Amino acid sequence: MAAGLNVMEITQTHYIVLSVLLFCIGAVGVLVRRNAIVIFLCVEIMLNAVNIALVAFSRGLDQNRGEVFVFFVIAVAAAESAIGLSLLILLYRQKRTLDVDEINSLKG
Amino acid sequence: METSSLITFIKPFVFYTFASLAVISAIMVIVSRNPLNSAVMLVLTFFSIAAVYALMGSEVIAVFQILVYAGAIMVLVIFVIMFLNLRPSNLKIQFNHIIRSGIAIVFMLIMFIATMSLLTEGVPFYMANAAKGDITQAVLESQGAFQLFSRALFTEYLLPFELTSLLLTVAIIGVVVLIRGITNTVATKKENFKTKGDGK
Amino acid sequence: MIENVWLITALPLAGFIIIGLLGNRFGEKLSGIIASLFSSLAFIVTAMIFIEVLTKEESARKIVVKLFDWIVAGKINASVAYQIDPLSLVMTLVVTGVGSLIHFYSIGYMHGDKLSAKYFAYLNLFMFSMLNLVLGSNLLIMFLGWEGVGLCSYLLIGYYYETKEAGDAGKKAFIVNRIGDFGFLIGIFLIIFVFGTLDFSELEHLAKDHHSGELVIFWITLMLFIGATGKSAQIPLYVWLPDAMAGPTPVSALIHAATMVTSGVYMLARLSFLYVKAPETMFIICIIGALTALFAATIGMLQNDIKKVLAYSTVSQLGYMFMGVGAGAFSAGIFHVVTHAFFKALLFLGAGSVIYAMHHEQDIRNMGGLRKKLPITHITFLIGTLAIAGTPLFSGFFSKDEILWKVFNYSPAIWVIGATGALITSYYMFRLYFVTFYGESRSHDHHGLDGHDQGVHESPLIMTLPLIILAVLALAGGFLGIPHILDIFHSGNIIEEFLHHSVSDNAVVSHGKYMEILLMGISVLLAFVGFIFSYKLFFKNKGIPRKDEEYAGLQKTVYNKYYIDEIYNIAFVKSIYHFALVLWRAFDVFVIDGIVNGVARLLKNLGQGMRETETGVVHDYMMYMAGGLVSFFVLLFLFYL
Repeated sequence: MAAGLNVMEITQTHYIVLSVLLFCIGAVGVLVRRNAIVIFLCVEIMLNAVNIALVAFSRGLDQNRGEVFVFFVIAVAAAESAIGLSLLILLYRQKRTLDVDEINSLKG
Repeated sequence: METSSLITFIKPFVFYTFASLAVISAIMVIVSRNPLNSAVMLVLTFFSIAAVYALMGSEVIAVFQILVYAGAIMVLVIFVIMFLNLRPSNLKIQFNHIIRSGIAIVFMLIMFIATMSLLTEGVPFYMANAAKGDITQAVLESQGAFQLFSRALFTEYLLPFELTSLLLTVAIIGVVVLIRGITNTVATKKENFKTKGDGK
Repeated sequence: MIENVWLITALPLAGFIIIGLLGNRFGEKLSGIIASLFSSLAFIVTAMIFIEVLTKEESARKIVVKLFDWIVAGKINASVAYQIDPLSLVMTLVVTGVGSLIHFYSIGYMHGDKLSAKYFAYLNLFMFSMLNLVLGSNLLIMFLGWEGVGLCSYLLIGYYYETKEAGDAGKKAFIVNRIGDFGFLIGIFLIIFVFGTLDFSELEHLAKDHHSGELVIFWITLMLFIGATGKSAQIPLYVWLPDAMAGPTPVSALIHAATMVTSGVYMLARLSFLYVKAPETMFIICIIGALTALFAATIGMLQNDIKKVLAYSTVSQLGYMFMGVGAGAFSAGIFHVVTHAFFKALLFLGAGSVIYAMHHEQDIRNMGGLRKKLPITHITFLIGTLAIAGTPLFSGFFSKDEILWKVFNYSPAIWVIGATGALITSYYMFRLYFVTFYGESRSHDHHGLDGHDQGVHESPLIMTLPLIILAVLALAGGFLGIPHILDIFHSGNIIEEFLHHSVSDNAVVSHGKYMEILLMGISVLLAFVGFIFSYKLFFKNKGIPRKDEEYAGLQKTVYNKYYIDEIYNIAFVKSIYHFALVLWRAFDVFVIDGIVNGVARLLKNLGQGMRETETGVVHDYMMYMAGGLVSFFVLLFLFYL
């Protein structure tokens, strides 16, 4: 693409490109899908994209701070998924659907 | 020397393989109609990302990625999907209407292009100029990634690490309260209804 | 003990909080006892501090006790700190002492009033504010107290809020006081602007660098004096005090005679180091004081409401204090504050006792012949009357003559006004005394058809005891300040010497001591003349004041208080009202409302439009978020391109 991107030598830029790509795919998924579980999965993709960027920078700068961060992100994601999924179950029990376009009780 | 050059030679191929696998399976996540398929595709994405981590020299995160994400979280998701018994008939076509989806894709394309054009210049520049730490590839290989990682986690980041346990406890309690709360409310409602019924 | 000075203010505050929160559960009696208890405890603490201060060297009698920082902003540093010095101690002793007596008296007076827990709570709050005013070591604390006593005055004047008169009087007092307070505030701002501090000690130090007669000092002192005219009921802001008599009588005694109204004099004495640098202001103060003294006295001559007479007499006596202060005799002014607190509180409480006995009858034309029925009240009221009239050896004589003597040295012309006022004072006080206590009973009491009021009897001990104590003080209080020429015991002028270090007296004595004796003789003579007039008219001839409609000519004008209220009503209230009406009709309705409603309509339409975006669908919200994110990146991109 540009001068910084050499095809045969894998640099940090490659990892970042992968990260941005995955992030965008995840974001598109969040925006276009209507099933709450799939939206949830897409959020996980976005989280992972961010993790890749963190690890890439961390390795590139010869330190492991970013990796510790990623560890915490994973821990938080675990907690989040537990809570999120139980909320989804409650939602399904109440509304009998997981279609976010049909759940509009936030309406002002 | 021999092995090292071999690694250098095959590294791009490994990267491109797993990166494209991750991207393709991620796309599959958002285009498959059945959420169960999405979930399985996501597992594949996670595995590919774990491989990329390993390629970067971060075995620790690769292991966590597989253990926590692919192992724990995804199993949980698949269980939930099965509990809810979301049959494909229930799902039908699950895309937003076409205009909104179009806008979303255009948005993300714009963002991708904008970001890329910033990063291809920016990342090498940043990497060349930023202050470097002391955990180089050589140190990593001599001392072992796990030891270095654990040392950082249990010394410098001990407090956040302990707080993580608190967070997970809160999550567990939260889930229990959420599920029990609903059950109780339904029970009380029924109770109320009963007393009202045979009361005055 | 001195470091525990905070107890003096904390005790009434504690009383206020306890009674204010739980008063309705305690009932009237217990609330009264609690309030009196806290007030007397404050008095005891004050007395202990006073004794401790007396043991100290004269120069070491000024102690500032800092409690905590209150406002620290730039160079302004106002801390909550109390200043103990002879001046504040004298005032604190008067406030807590007379205040406690009046608290006890109130237990009897308010007996049978279901809501009196509220009354006692306010009374303690008043004590708290007044003590802050007196003890504060900077102008901000003083202003806090100043506003606090104003509030309590408003609350207590309007205590019988079911009657329109009391409510209106409360509002009037509050609004008139606000006019004065505005001046006071401007004075404070000017002081901040010029000196950059509000602390009295620092101000005193800084004031030394300023020359006498500087313009800025003139304005500062004048503005502060305007504040004093509001609180201390001087011309032109005295109009609220007579109306304030709508409150319960002990309140009139405490707030509108003994303590709050004298706070203007106290403030002037506290800032005497500034006032001595502003001779013009001093002259204005002296003139205003003299005019008020005479003017209020003339109105007092023809009033028939026992409390109104005392109210005008208070205004008049306050005039004397200002006259003295204006002449540079600050300690004489404070001396008169003290003696006035004794005898005027006594007179008010006596009047309260009469009113209590007469079942809330206040018109002296309907009294008469109470001498036998209220013996203690009668004797104590007589002592009060003798004291205020300036009978030799009574407290009023010493303090008033001290002031008149200093004023004579300042300007004989003003002395003439003051002396005339003394004559009139003697006349109307004896008139009040004779008409109330002598002659035939004129009561149209509901107990008897032919005026035989069996219901009238002496007040209970809890009311008469404070009367007796105050009578003793009114009798003996004057010996605190015996003038030098009469100093047969060689005790010296105790109060003047005591106050020497905290106020900067600059009264000059240019006439010899024979002149002083002569003037003393003249004023005794004048008091006697006033007495003779009253005696002839109301004792010998058994005259009673005329009915309202029988007044004519000048008498009618005086009887109607020179129509000052009506003039103020037309000049200020009505004109402001009509001006406001024009503003309302023209400006407010069209311009302001137009802008306000226009903005509201704009926002409403905008909101109506924005409301459409709130669909409640998560996807739409996510889309807004993504839009924001994308635009952020695009902007970033454009900037770096």
